Amino acid sequence: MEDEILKIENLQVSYGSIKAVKGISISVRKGSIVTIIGSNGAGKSTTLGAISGLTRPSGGKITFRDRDITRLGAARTSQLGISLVPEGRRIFPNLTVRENMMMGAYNRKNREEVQENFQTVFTLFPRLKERLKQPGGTLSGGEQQMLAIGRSLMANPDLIMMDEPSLGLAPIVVEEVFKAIQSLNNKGVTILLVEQNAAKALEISRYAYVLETGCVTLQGDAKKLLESEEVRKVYLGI
Amino acid sequence: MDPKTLLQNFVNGLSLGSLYALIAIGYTMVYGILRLINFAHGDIFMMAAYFTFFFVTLTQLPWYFAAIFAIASAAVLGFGVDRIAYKPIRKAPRISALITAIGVSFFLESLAVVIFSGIPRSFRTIFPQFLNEMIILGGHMEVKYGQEVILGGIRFPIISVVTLIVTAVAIVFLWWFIYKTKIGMAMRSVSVDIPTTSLMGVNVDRIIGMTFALGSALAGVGGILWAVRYPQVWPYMGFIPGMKAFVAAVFGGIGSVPGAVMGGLILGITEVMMVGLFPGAAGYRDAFAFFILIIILSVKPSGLLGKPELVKV
Repeated sequence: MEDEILKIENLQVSYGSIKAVKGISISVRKGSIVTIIGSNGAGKSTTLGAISGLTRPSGGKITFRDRDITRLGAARTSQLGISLVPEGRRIFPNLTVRENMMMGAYNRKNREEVQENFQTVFTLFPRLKERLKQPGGTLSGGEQQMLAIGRSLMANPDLIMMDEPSLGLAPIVVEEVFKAIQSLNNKGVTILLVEQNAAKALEISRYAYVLETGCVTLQGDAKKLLESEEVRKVYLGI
Repeated sequence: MDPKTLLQNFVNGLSLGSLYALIAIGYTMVYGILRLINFAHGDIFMMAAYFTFFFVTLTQLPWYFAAIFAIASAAVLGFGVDRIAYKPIRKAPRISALITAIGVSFFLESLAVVIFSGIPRSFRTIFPQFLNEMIILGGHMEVKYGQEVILGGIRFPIISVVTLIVTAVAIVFLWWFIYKTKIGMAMRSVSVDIPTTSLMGVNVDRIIGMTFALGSALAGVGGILWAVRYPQVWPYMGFIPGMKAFVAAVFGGIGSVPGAVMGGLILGITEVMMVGLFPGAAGYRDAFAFFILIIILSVKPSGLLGKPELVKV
C-alpha cells in the first residue's frame, strides 16, 4: 500500500514460555483510525508495547514509514514519531501538568512550535490550561486521560497509539475523549486504537482488527465489522 | 553543658551534619531512581579528596583549581561506575545490584591502596591555613604559660562555617537543577516511572548516569571539605562517613532529598552533642549512628519524610 505508515508482519511476542502474540499482521494507513478490539488477554496491549519498543518481539517485523523498527527501544521509536498513550494513563504524578506536557516535548528543539502545541492541546482540552501548575497526581481520572493524550501530542507524532483511553472513565468523559480522538484525526494524525469499548471505537474507525488469544480472527472495514453478527454478539453484547 | 559549649557544639554538629547531608543526597538520589543503595558512594568521596591532593602536589596550581578538577572527576567517576558496573545488570534482581555495589566499593578502596598507597597523607598544606583556625565570638584570648586560653567567647574552626556555607550553596544548586532544568525534570519522572519516561523519547540510561554524576559531584564536595576538616586522606576515609550518610538517608526517608538533608543535620548534631554530654562515651560515637539506624528501622522504616513503599502484588 502506498500510504501505509505502519506495517506489522507476523509479529510474535512471548513472556517467558507464554506466547502472548502469535504471529499477527496489521497495516495502518496514513491519516486513518485503526482499531484493535478483543477481550482481556488477547494480546492488544502487548502488540502496542512491541510497536512502541517497550517489549521486545520474539519474531516478525514492524515497519514504520519504510523503516524497520522491530528492535528499536522505546526512546528511539518515540523520536521517530510514534507516540503511545499507555494503558492506565501513566502520567507523572509528581510533575505538574505543565511539566508532564513538557516531558512529551522532551526532544523538541523549536520553542515556538512547542508553544503552538501547547495551544493545540488547550483548544482540545481547555481544562488542562486551568490545571497547569497542579501536580498531575491531583487530577481526576478523566483529566489524567486528557493529560496523557495531550502529553503525547506535544511530541507532534505522526502516529498516536492509544491503549484503552476510555477505561475507567465516566460516560460523559468517554464521550469527550472520543470526540478529541476524532478531532485529532481530522487534523491528519494517524491513530491506532486499542479499546474494550468496541462500539464506540468501531464507530470512529476506518478499519479494525479483532484479536483473540494472540491471533487476528477477523478484520475488515470498521463499519462492516460493526454490523457483523459475530462482533455484535461477542463484543457489543447485542 | 553551659550555653556557650552548647552553642559551640551546635555549630560543630551542624557542620559535621551538613557533610553527612552532602553524601546522603547522593545515596538518596540513586535510591530514588534505581532502588539501589550505592555502597561505592563513600569511596567516590574518598577519591575526590585524593584527586585534590594529587592535583595540588603534582601541578602546584592553587587549591580552587584542584577542587574544581576533583569535583568534576568525581562526577565522571560516578557516571563511569554506573556505566561499567550497574548498567549491564539493570534488569537483574535488585540483590545483584546491591552485591555489585559492595564489590565496586571494595574495588575502589583497594585501587586507592594500590595507586595512592595505604599511608595516610596530610592534607594540611593543601588548603589555606586559616580554614583550620578558630573563630572566637564574644570573648578574648589570653596567653598563659605559652598556652592559649580562651576566656568567655564561643569558638569553632573556620572550616565549620565554610562547610555550612558551601553545603547550603550546593543544596540550592541541586534544588535549582532538579526543579528548574529539563534534565532535572527527567530525573523526577524517571524516579516514578522508567518505561513511561522512555516513551517520551528520553534516553533513560543517560538520565540515570547524570544522576550518578550529580550525586558523586556532591560527594566530591563533601570529600574535599572532610579532608580539610580532618586534615588527611587515606583509602578507607570514605567508609565510616559513607555508612553514616547512609544512616542519615534512611533516617530522613530514603529517596527524599530534603529527608537526606534533615537526616544528615540531625545525625551530625546528635553525634556531637552526645560526645559533648558524655565525653566518656566518645569512643562509641560511630556505634551511636548505627544504634540510631536500628531504632529507625524498627520504629519507622520509611524514615522522617519517606513514603512507605507499596509492594505490588
